[in-house]
Amino acid sequence: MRIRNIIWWTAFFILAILGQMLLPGIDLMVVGLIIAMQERNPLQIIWVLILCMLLQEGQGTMDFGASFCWYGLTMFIYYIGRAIFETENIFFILLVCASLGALHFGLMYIFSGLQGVSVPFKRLALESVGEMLIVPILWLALHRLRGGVARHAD
Amino acid sequence: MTPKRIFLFLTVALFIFLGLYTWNRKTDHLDSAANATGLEATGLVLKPYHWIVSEIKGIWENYLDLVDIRAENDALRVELHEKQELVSRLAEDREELLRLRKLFQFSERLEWNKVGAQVIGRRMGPLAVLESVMIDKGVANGALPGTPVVTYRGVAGKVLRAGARSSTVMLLTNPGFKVAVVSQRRRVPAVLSGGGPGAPLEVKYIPAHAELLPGEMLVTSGVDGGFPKGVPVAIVTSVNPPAGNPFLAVTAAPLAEIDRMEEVLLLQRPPHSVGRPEKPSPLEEVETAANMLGAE
Repeated sequence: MRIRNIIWWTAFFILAILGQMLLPGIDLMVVGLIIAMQERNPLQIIWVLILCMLLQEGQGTMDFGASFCWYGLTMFIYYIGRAIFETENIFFILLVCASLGALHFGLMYIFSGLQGVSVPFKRLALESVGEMLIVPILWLALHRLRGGVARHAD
Repeated sequence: MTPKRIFLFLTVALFIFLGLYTWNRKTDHLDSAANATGLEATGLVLKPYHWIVSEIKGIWENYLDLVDIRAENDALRVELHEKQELVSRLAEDREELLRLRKLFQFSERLEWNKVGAQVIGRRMGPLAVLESVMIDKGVANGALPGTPVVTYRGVAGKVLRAGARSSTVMLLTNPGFKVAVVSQRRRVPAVLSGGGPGAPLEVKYIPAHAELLPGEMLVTSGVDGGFPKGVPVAIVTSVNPPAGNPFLAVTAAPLAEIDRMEEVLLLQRPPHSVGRPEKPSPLEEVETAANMLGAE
């Protein structure tokens, strides 16, 4: 079971890296973090979070720190949403994804401004919309691939 | 979760973030860790992918896409003859230049080492806000941050972050990218910077009276020490009169095909010249001084 889990996560991160190469500016690894949170295994959440942060910071061109806020606030939104809805509720998924899109825009705008980098407004808006649309599709697909583990966790 | 606990959680998270951010700004430890792990892991995934794609592409181009090869060969043969003629003429000019350099006792120009690298990825992830590409060479191959990156056409950018065997290159089109240039024919010095994605490059600090026309090539002047002297950078596309300041509003287009480049060259400074900018020739010093006096 453990080996299967390791293989699953390895495949996930490889595909996420390749996916991010094809979709510039969009974070696909956040779906892995959401799935890890759905499964409620603290150790798994921690190492998935650390891997996501290191990979994003390594691929990025900003000073270290933006990923901390990005994933920290994603987790915060997830747990707040979970306190209101069930994790398989469609409103919960839509709420989290809409929040992620807005968060992507706000955080990247603030962080690039703090580091004196001007980011084209239109490009950032498009990436945020992309994040908002792609995450729920991937989330549902990966959730099914994981064999409905989260269903039992709830 | 009560509002009190939420507030406490956010406060603690903010303090941890500020602490980590400040510590990293001072020490660079977290950036180095991200380069050593995240950047390297990404390179490890992208290199085999790139190899597979290029192999498949190679098979297609070598065995299947043979249409029009004969016509292309003929055209290339004609072009080769033209180039050979040009090379023989340039060889004569070069000999003359070397003789003149010796006569005027100019210092010998140092040759920068060139290391080839392949582009394995472009802007990746939400934190890649700068226009950048990822290459398959890192610190182990001499790709240190700041290393100039060029294509066979001209300047492409410089290394921004480097892992052991992969690195990220900041492209010429970034507003934060700056390089000292000089116009090739009229020797007008300037500073060139990126204008952002899809926007023309900006050529700054050219005095209003300077003789610069669209179509002139800009090459690196070497005075900033970051790039060797004489590397082509861009072609001037527009020159407009100053609007409220003493400098011309000049734009340029990069010579390197930034969006399509697949291979690049890393220029490594000769070991005994580290940290020393290339000295301009006496003639250039006189021209620069004359330009500055003219600007006043």
